[in-house]
Amino acid sequence: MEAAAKYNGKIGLDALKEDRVLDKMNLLEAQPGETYTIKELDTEDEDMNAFLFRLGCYTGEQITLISKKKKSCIVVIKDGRYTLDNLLAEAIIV
Amino acid sequence: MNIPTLVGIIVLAAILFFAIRYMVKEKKKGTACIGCPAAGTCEKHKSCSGGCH
Amino acid sequence: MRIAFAGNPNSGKTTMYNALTGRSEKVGNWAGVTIGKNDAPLKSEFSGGKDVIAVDLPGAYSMSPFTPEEGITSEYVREENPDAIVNIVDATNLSRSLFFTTQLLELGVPVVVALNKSDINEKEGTTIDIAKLEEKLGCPVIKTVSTEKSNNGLSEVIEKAISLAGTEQKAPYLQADIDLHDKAQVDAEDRKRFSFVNGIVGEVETRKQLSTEETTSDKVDKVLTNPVAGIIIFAGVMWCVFAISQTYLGTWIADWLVGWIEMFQEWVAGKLESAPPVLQTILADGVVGGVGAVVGFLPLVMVMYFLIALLEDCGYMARVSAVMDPIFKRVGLSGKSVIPIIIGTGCGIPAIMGSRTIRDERERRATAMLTTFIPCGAKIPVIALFAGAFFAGAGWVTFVSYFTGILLIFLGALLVKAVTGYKYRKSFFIMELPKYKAPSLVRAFWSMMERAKAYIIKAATIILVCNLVVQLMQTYNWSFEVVPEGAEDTSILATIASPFAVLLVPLGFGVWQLAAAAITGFIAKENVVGTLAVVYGLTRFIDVEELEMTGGANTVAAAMGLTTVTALAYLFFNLFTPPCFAAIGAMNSEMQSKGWLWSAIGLQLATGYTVAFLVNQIGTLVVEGHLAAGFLPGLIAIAIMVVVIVLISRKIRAGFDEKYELHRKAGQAA
Repeated sequence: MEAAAKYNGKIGLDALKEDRVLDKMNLLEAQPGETYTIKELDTEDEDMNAFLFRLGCYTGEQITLISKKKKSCIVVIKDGRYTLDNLLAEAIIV
Repeated sequence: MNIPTLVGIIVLAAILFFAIRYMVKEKKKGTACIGCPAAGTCEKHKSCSGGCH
Repeated sequence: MRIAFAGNPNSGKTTMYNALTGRSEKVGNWAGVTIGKNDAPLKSEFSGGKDVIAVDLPGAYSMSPFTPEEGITSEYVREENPDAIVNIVDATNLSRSLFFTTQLLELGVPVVVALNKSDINEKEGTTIDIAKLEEKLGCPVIKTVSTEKSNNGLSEVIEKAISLAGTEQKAPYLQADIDLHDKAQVDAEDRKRFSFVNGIVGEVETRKQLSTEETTSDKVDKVLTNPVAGIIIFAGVMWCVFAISQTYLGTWIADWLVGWIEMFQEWVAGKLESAPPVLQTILADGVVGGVGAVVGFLPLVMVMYFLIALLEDCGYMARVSAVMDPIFKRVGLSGKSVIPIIIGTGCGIPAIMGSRTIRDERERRATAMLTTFIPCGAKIPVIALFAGAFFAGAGWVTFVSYFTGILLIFLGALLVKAVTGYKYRKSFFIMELPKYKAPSLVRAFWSMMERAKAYIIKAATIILVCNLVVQLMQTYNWSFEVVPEGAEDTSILATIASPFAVLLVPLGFGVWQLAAAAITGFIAKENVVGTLAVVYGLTRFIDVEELEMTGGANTVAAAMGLTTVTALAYLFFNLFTPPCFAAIGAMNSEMQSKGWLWSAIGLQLATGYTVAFLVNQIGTLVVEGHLAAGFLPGLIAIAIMVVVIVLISRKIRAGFDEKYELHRKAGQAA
């Protein structure tokens, strides 16, 4: 009985995780402390996209959200820490 | 004309001479802003094109 | 032979360059300190007697520029054919840095990689396999710590670079032959390059501490970038800087120094007793007195430079940018405008040039336009003089001066936003948060000494000559005779300055002496103090004791004939009118638009006038119960300024509406 509950719980959790993978969200909705893979990135500004690329921020790369504030957040891209405003965070889909 | 006057005039002339010579030299070197605390960064970019005098 | 120093922003290029050449270019712990190219010959201990020029370049993330200063770097390494490139790589962020390295390796110019900040890696337990990295990249890799005095790897780097100069560099990764205009192809190519880099990093780097783990520095960041706590802390830090330099430590040293200067002046005057009075006044009052008055304030400026250097070195500036970004955005600037403003407390010229790192043109120009409202180092003597003479050395005068400066920046930014109208482009903010580091006291000391030297040179050249000219113009009248006592108003200086003085009547200080001082202030702001010293024959400006003895009306205040209200108005007028000509020149070259330049000068004139007018009229109303003289003419003058601003705004907006309409239609059609 107990084992079954655990099993069920695990399934539930996995399902949730899968959900999150399928569901796209922007960085603002992400959890601090978690590492994500960038799925989409479009700032509607080609130069800005290219700039982010050169920092190592592009689709398929990892991004870690360190902390979130009301209007900004701190992330780790490659081995550097950056502060982003919400406008930019919204454009990063993980 | 007494000695203090003479010395005074010489000192004044010397100070003026060196001050102006320094300024002219710096101008020729392209330092537009003499003694500017940022002299190092600013002289090369011709930022003080307005000149300082 | 020329060796170029290139690498990512804040990897330590300028620190290394300074160590190698003995120069003292500006360094700081944030990305984008260096905004132009610097070059100087290497010290002979490094060059081995050869003629080697080191070229320091602004930081860049890649060969394709994003900001103007990145463009300088890629253009230089591509077009100017340096004999060798020293690529400074931030060893703590290898995975990002090597992207640019692989691009540099493609140029054919021999590259030496300097693995800088290796000391931080050792602390964090990150190891890099140098031999393997050398083999992978096909170029020498040397560990360096350029902040260290000895055993820092610098001479090895230079030795290698010199020995390799002229040879051909082989690239480990060659870009495929692609159409550079095709975005998709370029993108794919860059991805390949990054995965090549990732491959190398995976093989050579072992990390004990993952960069994604939360560290103490992250905890500190959480507080410092908190919208409430962060701003309070920032205000507190700046208050400490100003209080220490201008109320406590700096003033104590200055008080002592001024005593010596005054003694020297008396000594000079004594020696010249038998000389003609004209010579006596010129030397004792004009040269020694005028220059001495300015130099007397040097300790205040030096202490502040020292403290600002510490701030710049520790990594706090990037956090301030982050915490201030939302506020600055609201008024139409960006968080990046904060750094120029803080630099502006030292000198307006590097502050104006520092606005170059702001990408949005309108934000950049607005920052260059407004940053000089923050009182610079040259204005400190003016503030300190008035605080000392009229407000018993009260610290609040300093605080109010800086606070008003910030307020005016906000208001000015709102005005610029209102006048220039809509914005098309979204303004993003991204800033690297560098690792904290204990600020180097030695470096701050030398940075302070360097600026002190510049201050003294300025005092001994421009300010001395200006004082002398003012002295002569005051001593003689238009027929080149010595002005008789009691007829001071007939001197050359008085007749030139009087018409300007009339304009200043509504502001409460319509006398020619004060007008003359304000005018000479445009040459250099310290001149305000120098000229006041000359025209009123005063030196001892920082003098609290005397003030206590005479019960509020000390000699300086009495001689100038200003009330506390008009004194404050005059101080604000000098602080918030256009900066010195040199700074205006810097604005000209940064803005690259005559329209913006003249708008900036006009705005600053209008601001200085309006602020002084309000202080004088409202202050007089409060203190004496009636409006000050010249209320109506002053009001008319301000009304005219407002009309001009509205007209300019209309003109710009009319053009904007048309463009906006076209934009919209084009959007609909597509």
